[in-house]
Amino acid sequence: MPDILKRNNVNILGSGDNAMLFAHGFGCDQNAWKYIKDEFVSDYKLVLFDYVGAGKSDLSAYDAKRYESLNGYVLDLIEICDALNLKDVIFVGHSVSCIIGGLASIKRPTLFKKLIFIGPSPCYISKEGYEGGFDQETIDTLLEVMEDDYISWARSLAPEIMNKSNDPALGQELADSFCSIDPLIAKQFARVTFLSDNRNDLPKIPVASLTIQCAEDMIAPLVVGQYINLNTPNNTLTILKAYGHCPHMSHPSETIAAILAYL
Amino acid sequence: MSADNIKNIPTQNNLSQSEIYDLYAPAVYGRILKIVHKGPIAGKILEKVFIKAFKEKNFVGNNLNKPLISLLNQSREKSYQTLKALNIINECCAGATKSLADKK
Repeated sequence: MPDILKRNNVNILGSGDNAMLFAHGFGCDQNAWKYIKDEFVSDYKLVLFDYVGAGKSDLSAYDAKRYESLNGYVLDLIEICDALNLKDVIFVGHSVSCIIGGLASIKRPTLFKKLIFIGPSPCYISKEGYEGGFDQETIDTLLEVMEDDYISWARSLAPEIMNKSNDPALGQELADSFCSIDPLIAKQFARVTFLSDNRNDLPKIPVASLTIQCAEDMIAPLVVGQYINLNTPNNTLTILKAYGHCPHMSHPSETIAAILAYL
Repeated sequence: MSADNIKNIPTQNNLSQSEIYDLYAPAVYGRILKIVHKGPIAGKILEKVFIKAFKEKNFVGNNLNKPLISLLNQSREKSYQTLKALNIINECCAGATKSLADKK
């Protein structure tokens, strides 16, 4: 049995009776939660971790076979909860982690008390009768670009993006504390993420959930949030005024308010 | 574009592929750079556009203007697709991702 807490660089903050577990999305690590975690630290035991291939996780633990589908990440999540003897966890996931959390709740319903989804999508590619936000060609190009030096390329464009869509000061602040990912592992994670289709799993999620949806999000558009809300039992939809795919980073106050209102 | 890449793709007309590349690459590169604004990205797109073009049958006909138009159109499309893909990567973590390989 591997050292799960080391494998996933698990960090625990606070000492509340109830656990709140934060799961980052593709391209991120647990740094992504730094703007909102302090709000919850006095009331909850916070569990932060990095998926294998992100942040300070143990890269040697990467197993291409295990992570060839989201199920490998689901197993990691369950193993982290088991290693810490967690139950009735409040799960907060971003982007692809929302589905990872949802799948984990289907496998082990007793682990979770509530699920909070930030920018979720069960399927990123539009299909007949479903608007996912992207066409197949765009995702194919994305995966093709990831064969190249995509992280430095993307970074070279990032300041322009930040200046256009966000506070310029935030751009500098973010640049000082970037999330880290292994480019090769992230490539497979991207393939698994963007080619997955978990729409059929939504009705099976047995735990109450909140979908936090930005008004404008190019990765998970509003129609996707509405689709999740319609197809997931006991799901509440909160639409933020915030824009972008990472409101917990770009608009933390509004995101915190949405989480607190739900809890 | 490396010389090996050019050599390995069969020639389909009386101009060698390296001659075609020398003839058109500056204009195509200029078009790409105008869209992506970054030399390393433009260089890679240029390589992909030419490799794809050289794989096409009858890419170069008798009229030397036709391949240029085709290359410019393909480079424009590829440039915008690449920018969109990089924007998706940036959006995933608010543009705040770095490579672990950078630390090594």
